[in-house]
Formats: sequence, structure tokens, C-alpha cells
Amino acid sequence: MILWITTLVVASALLLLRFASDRVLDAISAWVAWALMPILKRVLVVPNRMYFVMDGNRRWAKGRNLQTQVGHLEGYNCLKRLLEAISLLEVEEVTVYAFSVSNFQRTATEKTYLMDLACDKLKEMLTRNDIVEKHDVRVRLVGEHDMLPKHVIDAANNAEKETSKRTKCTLNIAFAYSSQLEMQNLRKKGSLYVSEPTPSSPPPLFIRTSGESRFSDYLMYQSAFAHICFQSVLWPDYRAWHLLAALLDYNLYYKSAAAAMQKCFDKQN
Amino acid sequence: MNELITIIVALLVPVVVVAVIKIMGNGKQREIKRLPSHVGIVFEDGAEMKSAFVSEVIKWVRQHGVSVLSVYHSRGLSEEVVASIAASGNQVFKASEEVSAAVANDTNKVKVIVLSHRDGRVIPSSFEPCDRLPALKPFSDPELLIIFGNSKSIYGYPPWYLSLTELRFHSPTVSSYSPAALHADLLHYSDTKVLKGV
Repeated sequence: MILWITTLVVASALLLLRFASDRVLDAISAWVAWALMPILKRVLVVPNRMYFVMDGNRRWAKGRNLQTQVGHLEGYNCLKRLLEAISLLEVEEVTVYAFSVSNFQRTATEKTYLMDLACDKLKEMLTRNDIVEKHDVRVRLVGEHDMLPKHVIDAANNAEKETSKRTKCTLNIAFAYSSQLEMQNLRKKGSLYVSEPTPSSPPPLFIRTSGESRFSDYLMYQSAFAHICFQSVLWPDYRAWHLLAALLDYNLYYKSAAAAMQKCFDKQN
Repeated sequence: MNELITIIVALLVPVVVVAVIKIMGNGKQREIKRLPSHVGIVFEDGAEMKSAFVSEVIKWVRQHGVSVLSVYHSRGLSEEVVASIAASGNQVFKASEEVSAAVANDTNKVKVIVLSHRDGRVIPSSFEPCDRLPALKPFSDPELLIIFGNSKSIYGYPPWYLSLTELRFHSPTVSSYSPAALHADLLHYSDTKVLKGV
């Protein structure tokens, strides 16, 4: 009897997740994050650096017969939801891949939209009760700034200046970013845009959505010993349970990468 | 109760049918339409890395027509393994040696590039990390990287080669890896569309 009821409850939950509207899923995700993340913080090893490739906005929009721009906007909304969940885990640094140097090959319309979206959202983050204030987040735009239009650079500089004293979490937004160019910069100037992990901390968690299984020129140097999690969900559909799955995967398997990182460090010393 | 059982069975039957079709479909090997020119293999420190296995993988890779293979282990390959690779008629290179296009295109022999932690990610300690980043890459980026380890990690394989490399993770028990598994990895590479940012 109990087995049948359990099966029915699980099947109903799966059907609900499959067919429920986005708003219902957002509400469930927020509740799951609020209820579970503080517990997970105590029972699981949580990496203090997380790297996200926010992939799948355009495919998400195409799958719903919506314009690409809607996909990118939903992608930003998803980022806000993610930060709500991550803030409960007390992660020190989150780096998200918003726009790569190779994305400059996209159409002029899409590029203009993305630049304007970045500018608007950088300003919006600073408003009262938004991301920065709610979660005490320091915001940095990392990448090749000289490739960006002036209004985006100004918005980025303002966001960095206004949040420079925030300490709970650093949000690095990789915009006009290329890991190859970053490593060339490392050769010339001796510094990285995103700091590298130290062996005393757990290795970073690298998450890429949409099912692709490559780095795509993102944080390759910093991810040499990261635990990599490729998830098939498209970015705008990313919710608390996907993050939970990635954390569980990390906890099952991260030790081997951590040991390898420590051994490499020891060899250098 | 009987109606409940009937409903649940009715829901499960299509799932089982789809699963059976997928399993049966995997039995037929699909054609690989696009081959990588360079395949990389990474062994975690604790993974079994026997010369027999490395030689077998080289043989399977050559059968598919791949001409360059890089093999990474943090401690580097043992002399026994390197000797075994060379003895099979393959050309062995170190990371710093350039594999020219002419040599790389010679499909009669597999060019095996041997890598260790000295060539990979360097944790900065007493020296500047930028000293170790290569100004020029002596060999091409692997299009496919096959990793044997407990973590889903590249374990320090030189990351500057991996911008568009497909990553495939397997358990450290290499004895479970077979020509069929390599075929599946190559098929995954073949099926993948790389949009390169567009």
C-alpha cells in the first residue's frame, strides 16, 4: 500500500514538473532552495568557486517559438534565481559566461540587444532590494573591455565601483571574454581576470548547461582541476534541483580532482 | 486497487518499450562521419595505466584513422610504457617537440605525444606561471579528450589546448574500456555540432 502511494506521489511530482508552468516551477524552485540549501551547506562539501556556462538561451526560445531576445532575458532571470539559491550556500565566488569574444560573430541585431541588456541589467542590479543589496554581492565584468561599447564599459565600471566594498560573494560576469586571451594576458602581465583556485580549498565546480561537453574557451586555466558537470537542461530552465544534482555529483567525485591538484602543487614545492 | 495497478502498468509499458528500442539500436554501430585528427587520453593518478592498455588504445585509434594521440598522466608515462609504444612502430614525442603537419598527416604511424604534470597546469608557487605557458603550441589541439578517473576533471592536462575539445569521462578501471566504447566516443564527437560562438 505504502509502495503504491509513494509511486503515485513520485509520478505526480514528475508530471507536475514536466507540465507545470514556468511560474509554478519558479515558485517550487524558490521553496526548494530556501528549504534545502541551508541544510546542504551543513551536510555537503560546497565548493567556494562555481563556474557556469549559461548555454541554451536561443534553443530555449526557439523551442517555444519565441524571439531570441526573450531567451536571453529569461537567461538573466534564471541567473537571478540561481544567485538566490547560491547565496544560501555561501559560495564565495561565482563566475558566469555571458558573452564570449567569438559571440561577436553573431548578427548585429543580437549583439546590440545583448549589449543593451547587459547595460540595463548592470544598472538594475544596483537598485534597492535587487541582487547586490539582497545578497551582498560584489559585481565585476571580466573580459576584453576594449571590445565593448562605451555605455557597457561605463555601466560595468559603475557597478564595480558601487559594489567594491561588498564581501559576501563575488559575481564575475565574463563578458567579451576568451580564456585564450586571458592566458596571453597572463604571459604578458602576470595576472588573470578571474583568480585561480588554491589547493587548500575544494576544487571549483564547473557547470555547463544544454548538454554540450566542452569548455568553449571559458576559464580553462582556472578549471584545470575543477570537477566538471555537464547538464542537459537549457539555461533558462535551470532551477534549484539542477543545482542540487550538480552538488551531489560534485560530492560523490570531487576528491580525486582535489588530490590531483594537491599533488601537483606539492610537486612544484 | 486493480484499476490502480492497471494504470501504473499502462504508464510504465511505453517507457520500457522505448528503453528496449534504444538498447537494441545501440547494438548496431553507426557510421562515424567526422573523425578527430588528434585524440587525447588522460589517466588520473590512481587509474590503471598499463602498457598493454595504452598499446591497445593506440591500435584501436589507428584502426579508425586517427593519426595523433596525446597521453597525459601527472607522473608521466613510465619508460616501460613509452618503450612499448615505440616498439609497436609508433612515433613518440615530448610536449616540447613540434609535430609538423607533414608528420601529423602520415597515417601509417600514430604520433604519440607524452605529457605529464610538467607540461600541464602549473600551480604558481616560487615562479611566475606565465613562464610555463607556451608562446607557440607545438602540437594541434585535441578535438576529443578521453579521461579515465574518478572525478569528471581534466586532471591538469594542458588546458590551453582544450578550447573546443569534446570531453568524455570514463571510470578509472580501464579494463572496462573497449573498442565499442571508443567507437561511442568517436561517434559522440562526430555527432556534435560546434557553432564556435555564432
